[in-house]
Amino acid sequence: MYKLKNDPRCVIRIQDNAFIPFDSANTDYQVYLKWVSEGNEPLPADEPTPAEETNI
Amino acid sequence: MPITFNATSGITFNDGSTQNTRPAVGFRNRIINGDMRIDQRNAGASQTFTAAAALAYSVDRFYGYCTGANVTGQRVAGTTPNEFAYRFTGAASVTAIGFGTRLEATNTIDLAGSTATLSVQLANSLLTSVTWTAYYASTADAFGTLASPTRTQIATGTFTVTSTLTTYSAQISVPSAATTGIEIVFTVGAQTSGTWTIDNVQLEAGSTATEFERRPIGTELALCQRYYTRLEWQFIGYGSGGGSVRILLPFKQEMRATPTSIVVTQNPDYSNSSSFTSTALAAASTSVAQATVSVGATGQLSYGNTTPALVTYSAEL
Repeated sequence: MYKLKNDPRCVIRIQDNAFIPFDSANTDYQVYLKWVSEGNEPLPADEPTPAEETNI
Repeated sequence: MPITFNATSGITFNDGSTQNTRPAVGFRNRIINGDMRIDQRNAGASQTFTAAAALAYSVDRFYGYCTGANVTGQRVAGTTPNEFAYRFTGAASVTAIGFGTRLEATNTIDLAGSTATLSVQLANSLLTSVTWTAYYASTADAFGTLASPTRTQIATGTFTVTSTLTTYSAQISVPSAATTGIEIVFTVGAQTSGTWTIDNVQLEAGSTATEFERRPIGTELALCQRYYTRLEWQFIGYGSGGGSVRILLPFKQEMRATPTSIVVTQNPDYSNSSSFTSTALAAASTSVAQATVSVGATGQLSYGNTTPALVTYSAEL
């Protein structure tokens, strides 16, 4: 299970709170893409924190 | 005995050793951490592998898995002259254990279309067969998961082992298509008790199993840190209320891919705690890790004075 983050560069893997970057060479991201391709959807992101709002 | 040269048997040195092929020089072992010295994740502590779960990395660059029942594994003291080895301890109802490593395409592409030699030291106090299998990835550096592998088998074989640590070797004809990275996996069956010990894994070009290559610890650690590393975050600064502070730390080595990050300990002592409304610790690229801290109220920020936040970064294959 995954959860989106207020950061366009990564998603959170809920089981261990891992930050998975959207890098096609990252194997955790490859697993996430496969999970999405199977019809699953990540949970929506929380309201952004100030740090996330300024995160670029 | 003098050194002799012979057209068939090559060079025989005065200690009786022979060299009948072109000598291999340094960095001939394509396996990283083949002697199990680097254990950044567990530092020698026991690790439980959950039955039928995903691959779980253990000592650096090596993963384990099992079926039937959970097993434990850990880096243990080696047999002279080896400093360490890796050892699984069997358990009732276990039906299989696997231990493997995945090698990047860029480090193995030259082996395609040639013969390579796999050597390993093995011992098992219960079972007498250890199976080895070599694969190449379907696409560069993408071997898939244990449940959904994306790889093609190159070759497989079985070593008949005993309870005494012994070196075994096998030649592998690497197909010309194997330009996408190579995976080596060792498996045993029903390890329902006893122990299985693995050490000195080596994959090298050519048809001769040479002596295990021992690299300096700093070199081996640096090779491992391309795939997994840990950073401790600690900083003191001054923040403006409503703003944020960003800190960047370079990785110790350029990582293979932008890594997955996990905050292991993020409960450091910090002053002006109301100022810390949130922190975000993540990798920004293959070269830099990033921390962003929200500042609630203007003042000095002190983070991790005595207990740094520990974050792990993984770019494993």
